[in-house]
Amino acid sequence: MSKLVRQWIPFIIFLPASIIVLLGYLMPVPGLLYLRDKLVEWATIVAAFALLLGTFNIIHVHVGQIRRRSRGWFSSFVLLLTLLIGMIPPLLPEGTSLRSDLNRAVLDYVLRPVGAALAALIFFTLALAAFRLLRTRHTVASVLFLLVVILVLAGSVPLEGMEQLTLWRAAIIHVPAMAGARGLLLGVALGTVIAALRLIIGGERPYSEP
Amino acid sequence: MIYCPKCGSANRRGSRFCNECGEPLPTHTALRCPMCGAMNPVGNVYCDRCQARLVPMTATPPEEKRYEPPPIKGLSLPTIPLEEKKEEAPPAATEDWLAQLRPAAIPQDVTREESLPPPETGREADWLEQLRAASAAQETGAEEADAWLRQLRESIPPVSPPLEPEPLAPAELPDWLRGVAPPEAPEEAVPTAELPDWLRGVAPPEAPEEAIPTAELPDWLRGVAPPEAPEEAIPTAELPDWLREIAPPEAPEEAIPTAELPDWLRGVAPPEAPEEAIPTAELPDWLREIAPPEAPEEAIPTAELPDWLREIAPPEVPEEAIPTAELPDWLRGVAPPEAPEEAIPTAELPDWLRGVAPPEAPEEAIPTAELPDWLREVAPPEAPPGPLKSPIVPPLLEFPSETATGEIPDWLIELGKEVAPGAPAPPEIEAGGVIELARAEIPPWLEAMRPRPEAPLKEPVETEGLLAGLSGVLSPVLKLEVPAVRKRPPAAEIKEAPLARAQLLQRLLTQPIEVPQPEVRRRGSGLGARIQGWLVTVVLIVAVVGTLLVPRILPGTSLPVHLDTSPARSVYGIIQGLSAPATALVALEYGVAEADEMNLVAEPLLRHLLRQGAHLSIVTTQPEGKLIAEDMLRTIAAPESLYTIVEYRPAGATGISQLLAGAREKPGVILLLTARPASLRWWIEQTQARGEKLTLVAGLSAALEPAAAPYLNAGALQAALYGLGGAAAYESEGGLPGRATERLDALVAGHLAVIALILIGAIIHTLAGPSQEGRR
Repeated sequence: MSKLVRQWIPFIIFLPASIIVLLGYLMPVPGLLYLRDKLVEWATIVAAFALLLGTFNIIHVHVGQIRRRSRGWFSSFVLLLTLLIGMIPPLLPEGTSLRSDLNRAVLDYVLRPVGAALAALIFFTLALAAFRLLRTRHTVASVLFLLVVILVLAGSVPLEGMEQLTLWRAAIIHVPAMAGARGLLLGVALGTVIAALRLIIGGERPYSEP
Repeated sequence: MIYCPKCGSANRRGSRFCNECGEPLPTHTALRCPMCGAMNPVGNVYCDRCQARLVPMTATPPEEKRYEPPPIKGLSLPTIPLEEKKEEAPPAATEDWLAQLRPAAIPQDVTREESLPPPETGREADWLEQLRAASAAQETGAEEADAWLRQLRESIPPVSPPLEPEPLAPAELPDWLRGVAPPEAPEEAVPTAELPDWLRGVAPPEAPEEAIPTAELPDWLRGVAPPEAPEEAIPTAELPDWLREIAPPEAPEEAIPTAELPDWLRGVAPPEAPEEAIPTAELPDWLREIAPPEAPEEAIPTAELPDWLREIAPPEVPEEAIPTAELPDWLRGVAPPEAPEEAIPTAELPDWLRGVAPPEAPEEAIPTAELPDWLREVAPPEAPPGPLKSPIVPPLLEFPSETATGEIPDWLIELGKEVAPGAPAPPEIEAGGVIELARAEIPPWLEAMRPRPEAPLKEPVETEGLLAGLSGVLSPVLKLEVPAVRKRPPAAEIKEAPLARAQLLQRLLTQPIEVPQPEVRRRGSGLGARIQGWLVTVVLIVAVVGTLLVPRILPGTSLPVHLDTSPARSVYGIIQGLSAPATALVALEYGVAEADEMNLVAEPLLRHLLRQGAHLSIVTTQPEGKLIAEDMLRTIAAPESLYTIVEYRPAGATGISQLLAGAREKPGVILLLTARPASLRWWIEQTQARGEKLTLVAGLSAALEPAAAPYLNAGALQAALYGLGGAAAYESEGGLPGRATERLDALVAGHLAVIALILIGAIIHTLAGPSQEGRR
């Protein structure tokens, strides 16, 4: 691929689009808003194609693993089988009982139990890690961490007689925790601005990377 | 040195053409051996590696093949004219060296016989005689010509002078004729006597006064031209080399010392001045045996001689000779002969024979029969008895008179007749004083000492190609003798065992390399870790399941809870403020993993909205969001409820922006249901970015309370409800009993169980101490 196609054409498309969208947010005039909304709509369509492209890529990779009998090829086979089964209900006519019944079955007997099991597993893992924390990390930070966890959990328990713990929990969440969260949000915001400027001025060209 | 590839002569390094034959010389600095291919220096004649000959041998043409003695530096021996060599050499090619030595013995005699006028004419060469004859021909004219020549002259009409010798100017001659053209405009004609025979017939009868010098004649005429008559003999040293060989021998005033002669010549060379004889000790070994005894005037007593000389020394003149019979056997062979009656005087022998002559001055010659065998061959013939001669050694060419013939052997008499000074010069006497000696038998021991020219190797001569004319060329051999069509070799039979090994090797090479992974000890795989895992599991199951089962088993029993209703009251107030035709945009942004918690949070909110008569537009950026929404609304929504489930919106924040931009009308409230921080941020940012005042309330998971608190405090989020406790408080606040209240006890029990496990674990591990990993 030539340098023109890989670098300059994407840059020529990206530069005016990003400037128009940015100006549309900064100066919400009707013309800029219209251009901004159109460009955002096109981006959504392009993202849909990206999702489709990712789906084909997953199929290609796992079919190759099955063909080569690579390690874990059976898991690839299950993944492809599930993908084919999950594609059946949306392909059925909308409004039919079969489509709704298949959707509920997939949700109730596949997706939700699996999701619930993962969430419960996370809870169990966190509980066991807290139980063994002082065995693996016998430090002051570990003790402090456990104390905070106990306070927040106890403050989350809406039992009568533990209202003071609720205040302690609220103080922890609204002062140090929110300070940390705000720092994260500010960092994310600054990073987003810097990344946007680098993209606009052409300092970073992720679209031209192979 | 660079050897000529054609003639083999040596040339100086750097020469481009052969000095001998003009052949271009190779310019490369190494010679490749034709046999082994090794590179040799240019000067090599033989290969350093295999001794093969590098310079090809060339066979000289037969007409040019003649023996040329090696040049002797400092030797002024007279040489034989070219005509004589041609006459003498062919019949006795093997005795060339001897024939060349004969004239060498002459000069010494000439010096001694300078006072002899007549013999000088006899020693002159033919060319001198012919020259004299030519001068005489001026007087006699054509009358002395042969009869056949006269007849020829008579048969040919005389050629008038204007017709014949009018020479062309050199400029009018072609180039190829200039070389052979006679000299320009001879004023006087060539004398007839100096012309070759074939030219005399056509030559004018007048004899020219001046002859054309031979050097001016072309080569092809020199051979037939009569020799010039030099008025004064040119010294040989002044002549060029090629003339010295044919020039008349000079009369050297001083003989060459024997020491300067090559070894092989000393034995036969004429001895040096007899006044000073060479001491025997200075002679080479092989000459001492045949050397003449020193100081013949005074004989050295035998007793004074060394032993090795006594054998060959002349015997002292004993007053009484010891009879041979009285000698020991080993001495008889070399013992001096017993008193010969008459010995040949040494002075009468030629010098070169004195060395092998018997000892001088015995009163009686030794009989030949008494001589040893080796002496008989060289001993002179027995001389008849006669008076003793003077001890003065006569020169070789001083031949005795007729009266003295009886005192010399016959072979010397014949020799003397040939060169007798008083006799008229016979026609067979050679010029230069060379005497036609009768060829004597060469003894084997002398024959063995004679140098022999190296016999040229007979090698084939190349007849064609670029190397034509060169000898010693290797015959070409075809290097490629394979057929033009290559035949495929027959397929080899592969046995099963090698085939199996090859297949095994191929399989091993094609298999992916599996690096053996080190055995990793699973954390907690020990007995204590397993017990701890089971303890945590049992505690959690008992706490949660027991709390859920107890109300069913014992109705009316529940935990005493105290709910914080302030957050729920804010959300409840906003939703309660919606009017009937209001539209609520519900963003369902959680997946099935968070559905168990988020559905409990979403249900009271959606029921409240539906109760308020709001039109629900449910959107999601999660692929499974639509299914979750459909399942949830199917449970809580009444048949008359109005809601719309929009398809999945990809592209994250962009999709949310596009969704908000594409809304037909401004929603009365936006309800965000999510358990993910990114979705919370996207929705808050895009809602704020629209520039419109939109009401955004959220039903979030308990874990998102710290993340949503900043937006809530900043006003970007109007109200929020967190987790199961907030949902239970909302149900309690709105009078909407639901599953959140039922699950609240299990949540409390679960929280307490976890707190208990953390405390127990901290106590155990504090008492037991940290593990090895914890110590590190």
